[in-house]
Amino acid sequence: MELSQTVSDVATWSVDLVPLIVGAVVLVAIFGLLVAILVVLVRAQKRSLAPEEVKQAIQHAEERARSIVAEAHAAAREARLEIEKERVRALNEDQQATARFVDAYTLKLDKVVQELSYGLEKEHMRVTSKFVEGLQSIEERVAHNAGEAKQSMDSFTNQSSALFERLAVEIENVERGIQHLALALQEAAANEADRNADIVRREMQKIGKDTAASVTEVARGLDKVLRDSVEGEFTRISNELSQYRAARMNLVDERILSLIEETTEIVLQKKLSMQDQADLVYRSLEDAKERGVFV
Amino acid sequence: MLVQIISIMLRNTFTTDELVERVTLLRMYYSAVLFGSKREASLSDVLSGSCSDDTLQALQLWQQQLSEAGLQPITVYEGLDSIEQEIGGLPTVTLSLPIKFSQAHLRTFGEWFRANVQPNILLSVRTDPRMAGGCGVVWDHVFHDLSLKHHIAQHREELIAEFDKQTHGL
Repeated sequence: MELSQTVSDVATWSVDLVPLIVGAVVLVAIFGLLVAILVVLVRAQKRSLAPEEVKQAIQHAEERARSIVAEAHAAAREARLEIEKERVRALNEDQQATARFVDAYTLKLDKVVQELSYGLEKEHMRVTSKFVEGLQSIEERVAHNAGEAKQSMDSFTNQSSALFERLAVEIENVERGIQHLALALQEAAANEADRNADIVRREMQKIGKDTAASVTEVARGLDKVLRDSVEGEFTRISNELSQYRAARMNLVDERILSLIEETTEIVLQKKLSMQDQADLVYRSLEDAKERGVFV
Repeated sequence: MLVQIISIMLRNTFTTDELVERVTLLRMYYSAVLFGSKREASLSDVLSGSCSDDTLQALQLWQQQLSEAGLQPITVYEGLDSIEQEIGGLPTVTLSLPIKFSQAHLRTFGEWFRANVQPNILLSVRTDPRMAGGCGVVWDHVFHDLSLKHHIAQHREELIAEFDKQTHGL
């Protein structure tokens, strides 16, 4: 009984203590909250209460920023300097390479021009020599043809002489025949008186006709030979002259233009001064302008 | 501004080769003066040995006229890339000549073209000894043979007739 009474008392006591404990806990919590608020307030009050520090921090930050910007500027300037130096160096190298190339090119060009001039001069001499040889060949042909013509004329003269000799012989023969006939007639007349006079006249007429026919035939033959020979010679000589003229014209047509061009080129390159060449250029340009080339 | 700079450059420059060379040299000079160690150097200090005396004098004239026009070196330097591009668009005539003429003669040829064809034209000069005399011109994509050789070919019949007359006694 006593034990149960004791337990009952303790339980009652415990129940009575609960509100006290709860209250104490609440108080502690409230106190803690107040302390926390106080701390927050104190801290907040501390920040707003230190403007000098804030100002110093801002100044410090600005100085840092300026320092960084200055460093960036310096770095950028150094980088640009490096780039420009590199660019100048590359330009110098390009310039030197270009100069070397131009020198080599100029040297080669001069060499080519010299070779070209030498080649042109050589070609000009070769062509001129060929042209002169052509003309000499034609002259030789003409001389040869002239010799042949002379031989033909000599032959013609010889033939003519032979024909004239033949004619003279024929005429002498006729004269001798006539004389012989006259003698015969005289004799016949003495012997036969007028008996055979008619027969004699007829014979004389016949002999006269035959003689005239013979002489005419010889003369015609001579005329034909003369005419044929002369006409033939003239035709041949005319043909030779035509061929000579045609050959000479062909030579002129084929070679003279290039001869003039090549000669002009060589002569102008070597003989004309720079001012003369410039005057030719101006003249060409003025002609082109008048023709409306630049419109 | 670019037009003003190019106009000054063209006053004493008549061929594309000259213009390209001079712009390159001007870039070298400005690079040395603006970004290198030669800040007070003159054109002859920087470019002596890199170009002829005529070219150096032409660049000195550019420098003087650019300065008179109020154009600062850095302004001109920054415009050089664009100027090089603009040069490609300028009117150009190709002139083939029988010999290599002096700069003075090329200048007079350029003046003729600017007086008679276009005021800002540039010459692109070639040398062709086969022309003998006169010249050849490429204008508006068409080649015009104005050479003595062409002139001889044009008067072929007259020349042959004259030669025939002169050599009739052969």
